[in-house]
Amino acid sequence: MKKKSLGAIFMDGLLFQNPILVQMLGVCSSLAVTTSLINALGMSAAVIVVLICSNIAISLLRKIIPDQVRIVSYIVVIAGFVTIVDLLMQAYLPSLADSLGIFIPLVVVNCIILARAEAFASKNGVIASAVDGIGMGLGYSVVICIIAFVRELIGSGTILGYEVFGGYYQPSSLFILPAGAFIVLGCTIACYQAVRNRKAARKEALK
Amino acid sequence: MSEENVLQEKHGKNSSPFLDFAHFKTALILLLITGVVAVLLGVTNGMTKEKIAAIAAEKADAARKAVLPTASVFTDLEYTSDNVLSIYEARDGSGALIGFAVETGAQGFGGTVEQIVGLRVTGANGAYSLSVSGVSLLDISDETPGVGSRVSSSGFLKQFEGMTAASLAESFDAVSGATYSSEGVRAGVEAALDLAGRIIQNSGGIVK
Repeated sequence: MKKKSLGAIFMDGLLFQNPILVQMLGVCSSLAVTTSLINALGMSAAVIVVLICSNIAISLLRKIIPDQVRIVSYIVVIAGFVTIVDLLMQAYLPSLADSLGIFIPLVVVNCIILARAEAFASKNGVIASAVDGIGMGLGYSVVICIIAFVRELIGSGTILGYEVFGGYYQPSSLFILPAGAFIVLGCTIACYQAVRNRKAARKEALK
Repeated sequence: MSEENVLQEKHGKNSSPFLDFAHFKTALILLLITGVVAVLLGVTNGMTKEKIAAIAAEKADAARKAVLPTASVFTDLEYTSDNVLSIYEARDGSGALIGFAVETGAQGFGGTVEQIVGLRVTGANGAYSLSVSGVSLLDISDETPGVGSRVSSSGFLKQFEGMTAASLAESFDAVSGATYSSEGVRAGVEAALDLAGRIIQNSGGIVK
């Protein structure tokens, strides 16, 4: 495998290998927390921090962890690590824990974290793994914020809790309910694929 | 070290798993990893336990103050009843009883709606009356986000202020589309009024 530049690793996470749009990872959490933009922002912050740190930790331990028990070891390391951060946050940064607290336990079981540990951090150096964590984390964040923006706007008529239509709009609660999450996610993936296909077709035509 | 190499050569990676030193080593490393993580977790828990408990107690006190701002001391009466998790009597700076702060948990749509209800005691000797001074929600995470969670809107919660057991029984406005969650809030307020009323009655209507 050819070594990729850090920029390419970052762009892979953000765009070309986007965890939600391409890898279809972490879909469950992205559907559940996107009822409002503020929730999505909280979840984004939690995922980015945990992903970077777990990638670094797994990358550091990659030579020690035996192959046969790697998945178990990843889960133990990640869950233990996140719980420690969660406890420290509750004790010393209570206001931050208030806004992020409910997302932290969700992040531990987010499959993006485990997938990046298995697919990337266990095979690459510390710096590359950290960059991968940033890229994948941002890729996830951008998508859930888009979904949350659309769902909150149509479903509640608000953005970050502020009324935007001045009361003339009757919100459609379908978009707040789980069905709306699937519809918005599907449309987002369709748009992404359409743009990608068009770009690919143009490249093909130039050849 | 040399013995291990010999064994590994003899068995290889895909040989029988029985009594294989390589497997033993794998198990040992896994044990080591889980052990280190467990110790770290234990140490962190020990370090943060008291601090977290203190913050939680402070938060609970602030929540009680939010529904009964004039109170300065809350004492747990250690009573419970249907839908009531705990009840605190509230006294002002001079030690006179001014009301109760009641934590309730009544069935909503998806689970229990946990809230704190402030009750004000008014009236003089023998003729006390209870009215709601405020309601604030503690945990409505089991209610549907964006639907049942709308009971947290200030307009809905404000209507309870000033209500007595009689006026609550008469009428209240549920949030449209969130009838069950609204009912959870209402049932909590009702249970709080009921228990506090019984406590006053049992003390002969005379509350010091």
